[in-house]
Amino acid sequence: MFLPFVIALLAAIFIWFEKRILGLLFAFASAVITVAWFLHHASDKLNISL
Amino acid sequence: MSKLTLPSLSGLGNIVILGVINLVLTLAFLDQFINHDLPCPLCILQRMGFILIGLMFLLNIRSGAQPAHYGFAILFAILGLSVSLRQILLHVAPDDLGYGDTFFRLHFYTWAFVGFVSLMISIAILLIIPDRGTRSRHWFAQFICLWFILLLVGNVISTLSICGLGACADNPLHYDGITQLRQWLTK
Repeated sequence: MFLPFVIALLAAIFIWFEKRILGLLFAFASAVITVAWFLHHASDKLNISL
Repeated sequence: MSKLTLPSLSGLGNIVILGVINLVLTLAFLDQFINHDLPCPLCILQRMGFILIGLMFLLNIRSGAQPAHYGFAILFAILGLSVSLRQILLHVAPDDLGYGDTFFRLHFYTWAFVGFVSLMISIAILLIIPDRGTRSRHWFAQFICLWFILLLVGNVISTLSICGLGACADNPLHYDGITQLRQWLTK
């Protein structure tokens, strides 16, 4: 779970030093991992009737 | 851009929104440390949503605004919104007391939902007003950017100490990562 935060931190460091493309790439990678963790944690059935 | 002159209205908007994201993340930390309310996996993912949006505003302040930054920020807001909506629906049943502490009678995940919607509205407003330069080296902009990076470092340490190197517990009560580190050191 810590991985998207580490990658986001690297993205922030790249952005601080104005490496725009690297910052965007790392932010995107962090988002992809976040989606993967969301799918992993959102597997239970919801207690609602749709 | 001078270090003393404030940026344009769109530049100021970017700084203010990054400042608001900083406040949200700081409030989450205050609740975690003062009320000992450990974040659940979905709560951690909602923090990540705010951080991802914050990264795009950091990009606007450091390198100048581009449509791609706002586009990504909207996508990241939808990601955060989905996570918070999922958590709201998990606790939507009438007898369910919800997860964690409340803030002004609403749970933090409900506030996160409000926050993500507000951020999307703010991004729309920033896209409407003319962009007269968002790149800024003003001391206040630098302070907000560094505060955001510091919060990111804090989130790395916090998530590592709650979850360790793997997945988080569904309902974390202790800092499992620290326990795992102690066990590993005493082996």
